[in-house]
Amino acid sequence: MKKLINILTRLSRVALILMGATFLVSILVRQLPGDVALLINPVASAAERDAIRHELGLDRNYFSAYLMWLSQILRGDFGIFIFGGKVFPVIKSAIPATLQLIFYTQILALVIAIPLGVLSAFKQGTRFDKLTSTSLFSLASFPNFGIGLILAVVVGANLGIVPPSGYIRITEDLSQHFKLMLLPVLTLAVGPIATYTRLLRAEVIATLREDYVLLAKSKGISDKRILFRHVLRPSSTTLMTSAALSMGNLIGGALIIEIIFVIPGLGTQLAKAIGTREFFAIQSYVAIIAVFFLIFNSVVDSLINAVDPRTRNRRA
Amino acid sequence: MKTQVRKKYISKIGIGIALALGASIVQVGSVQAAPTPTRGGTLSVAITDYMVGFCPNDTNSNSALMPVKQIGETLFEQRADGLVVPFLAESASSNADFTSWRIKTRTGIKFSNGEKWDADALMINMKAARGQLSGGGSAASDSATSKVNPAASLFHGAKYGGLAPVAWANAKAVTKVDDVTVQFDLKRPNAGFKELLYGSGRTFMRAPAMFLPENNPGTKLADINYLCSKQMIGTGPFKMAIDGMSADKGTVTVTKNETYWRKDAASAKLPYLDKIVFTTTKDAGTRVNGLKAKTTDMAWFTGNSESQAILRAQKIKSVKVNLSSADFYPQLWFVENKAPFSTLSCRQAVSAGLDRATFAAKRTGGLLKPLTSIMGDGSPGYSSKNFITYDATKAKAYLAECIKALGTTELAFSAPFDTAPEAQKNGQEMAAQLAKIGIKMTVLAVETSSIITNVFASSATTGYQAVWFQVLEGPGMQFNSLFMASTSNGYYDLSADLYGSLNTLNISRHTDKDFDTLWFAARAQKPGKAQNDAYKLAIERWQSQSHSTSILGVAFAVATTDKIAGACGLKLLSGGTARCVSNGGISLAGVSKSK
Repeated sequence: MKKLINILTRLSRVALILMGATFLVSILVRQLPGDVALLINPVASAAERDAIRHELGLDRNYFSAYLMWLSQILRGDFGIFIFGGKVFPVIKSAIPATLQLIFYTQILALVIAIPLGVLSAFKQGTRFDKLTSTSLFSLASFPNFGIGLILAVVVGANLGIVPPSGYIRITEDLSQHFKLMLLPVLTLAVGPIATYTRLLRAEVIATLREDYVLLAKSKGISDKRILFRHVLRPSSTTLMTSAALSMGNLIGGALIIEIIFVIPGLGTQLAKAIGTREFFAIQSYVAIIAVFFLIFNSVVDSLINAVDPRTRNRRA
Repeated sequence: MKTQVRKKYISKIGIGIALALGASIVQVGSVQAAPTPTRGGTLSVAITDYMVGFCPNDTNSNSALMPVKQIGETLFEQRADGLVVPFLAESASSNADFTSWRIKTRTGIKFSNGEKWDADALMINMKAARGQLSGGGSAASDSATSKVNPAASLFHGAKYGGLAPVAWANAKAVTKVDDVTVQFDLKRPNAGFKELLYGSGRTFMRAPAMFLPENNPGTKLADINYLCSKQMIGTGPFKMAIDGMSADKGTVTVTKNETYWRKDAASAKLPYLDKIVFTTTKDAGTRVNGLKAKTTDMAWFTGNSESQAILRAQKIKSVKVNLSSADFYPQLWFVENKAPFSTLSCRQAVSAGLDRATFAAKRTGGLLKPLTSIMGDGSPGYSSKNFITYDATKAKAYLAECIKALGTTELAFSAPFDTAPEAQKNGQEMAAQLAKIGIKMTVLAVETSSIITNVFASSATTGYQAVWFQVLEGPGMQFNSLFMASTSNGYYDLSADLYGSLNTLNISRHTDKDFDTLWFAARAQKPGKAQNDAYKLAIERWQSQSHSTSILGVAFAVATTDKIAGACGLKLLSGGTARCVSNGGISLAGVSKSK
């Protein structure tokens, strides 16, 4: 019963945040200059313009228009493009590319950052630790679009190791899919690798000072076992929270990276929608991004509960 | 003994000469025999812009014309020497005063869906282009009219700002004479009517099925889902399926049209390629990278904003850059129906404040040359008279006059530039130059497809104060005419022709009747020196009023990897070859890709 209440509370919180975010966006989008009715029919009479505005819900107040949009979304109708076509098919085709980009990035970042962070902490103050920190932070200080352009030119175009741009669905050609995703994923992963490594290093250093670690050491348990079995788990809470929060940043980063590497994901579509003043599409894309952001955070919250019983007790 | 030695030498020399001759014959033979083009394969082409759609009113940007050009074909084609010659048309003839033209359609041609190309097909295309398949111009009236596909009309479907009906406003009547002949009766004489039918490579002939009512699923704005906005059916070397364009309009896939009518020099079937995939790639650097890595076979570039990328591509050994003549002339159009550019001195201040030579050097690395007229010297109307060139002192004087007339403290305006980084840099360079004079220019980042829509919105509503936009081009004047003429002198009988307020192609919204009079007088003349002189007078009037100003003559480029052959060599039935690179890129009918 308690669990059910917890889940319901969490869900209602998610719904409220989602509604708040999309409502704000709907207000902001309506502030963009330009009359949609005139974009649709430049020579429409005043009556025709009113009819268009009415059909699109633009004659309603903010709340009413938002409720209309919300009821459409809940029915699976993501609206239309002013210049023709429905938004949903674009969202449907764009989501997989963006999610793949973000997931691959997250996986790569964690796979590199976890051993690096743990080892840096264990070898605190050594040349390895200093070299790791300096290299990662030098790389992270570059804007990711700059890294992307360099990788595309050097690794893609000049060395020809992997294609410099493009996207192919995983179901069409598995090997080509991963070849094409390598550079954008590497580009996006640089920042998170540096952050995760640093965070994990600090946490591991703190955990290594805990009494139970000293006890384990005194029992003669191997360093490897202590680090990866007894230290990593309690030290990973901050890392996981950071990983969840970085999902939002990754979506933002993907916007530029998708354009550089010609990936037809949500970022590319959002940039295009902003450029063409596609009001309804912008609103729907932002809603989708907000949904993913909240889902990621909720999933990580649950994972943290599972990994670290202390947080469970605190919340209980 | 000596004789024997001599004989021996002579015979050796003889053998040597014979071998050399033989080798040279073999070599000459191998040079003369054209390599057999490889059949099959998929071509990957990177273009700059997103597609709009395929309806007559869908004004695709230049690079987005390239996919359309492979599926659809035009009545006339522009040859490499600039002459407009019949293509889907077999011939064109006019009466003595150029007010009536008869176009004969070429026989034996079918659309890729099996429909016949003939006078009936031409008639339905002209009806669609003239907005006559529409129920009257509003969603409600279209909806109420049966057997009408609103997508084929001007304002409905995938796009709402259309060029076509205004282009045909001079046509009084279009009638079918026989199965292969259509007659165009014009209100005003037009000696260059063939060039108008070519329409800068945009007047594609579409299969009648694209306009049929059974393909019209509805007319509600919320349910825009018409066939012609999604699928092009033409007579061209390639065809597309209804799902050939991706949902985001960023990828177009076309496949070989097995029934294509043209043949190669050896009378073999065309095209050679099986499939082409066009992908929108906004960043020019990414396109060059793709060419270098050979993951992209062909890429489009516009010299206007992507000169640096063209220069970079030219340095890659495995890449060949086909560059068009620099006879496309983007203008900074001053929108004159609102402040500040309703005031002449404000237009003059900006015109005099642009340092064209510096712009050309900084933004194009010397690839493109600054202009001394609104059009280049390859245009029949070229004249540098009255063109305001860079002069900071004069610019400041004009600016003082402008500010006084406006009653403000500064001259400030905004202008849209495409979202591509290089296009934005073009805008920033102009803004920086004008800032030195004391003029504040704000650069807006807007997708080209959106700029087009706004530019051709109604005169009362266009939101821009100025717009950097490329529609003027050489070597003809017909296409330019559409964008330069004002309707203010009643030249177009709008109430009779269309919906009442269509002066939408007049980008600068000028009301310069003197210019119109000069312009249309030139258009009515027979091509030749007298006509060119008449055009020059009109251009000089335009320049005196600074309705627009230019900076550079722009070239387009299509770059290919060394795997690609036959990009520009296909002969036309009317003789000669088509212009290699036009604003619609390259025709890929004769292109092959080695394995």
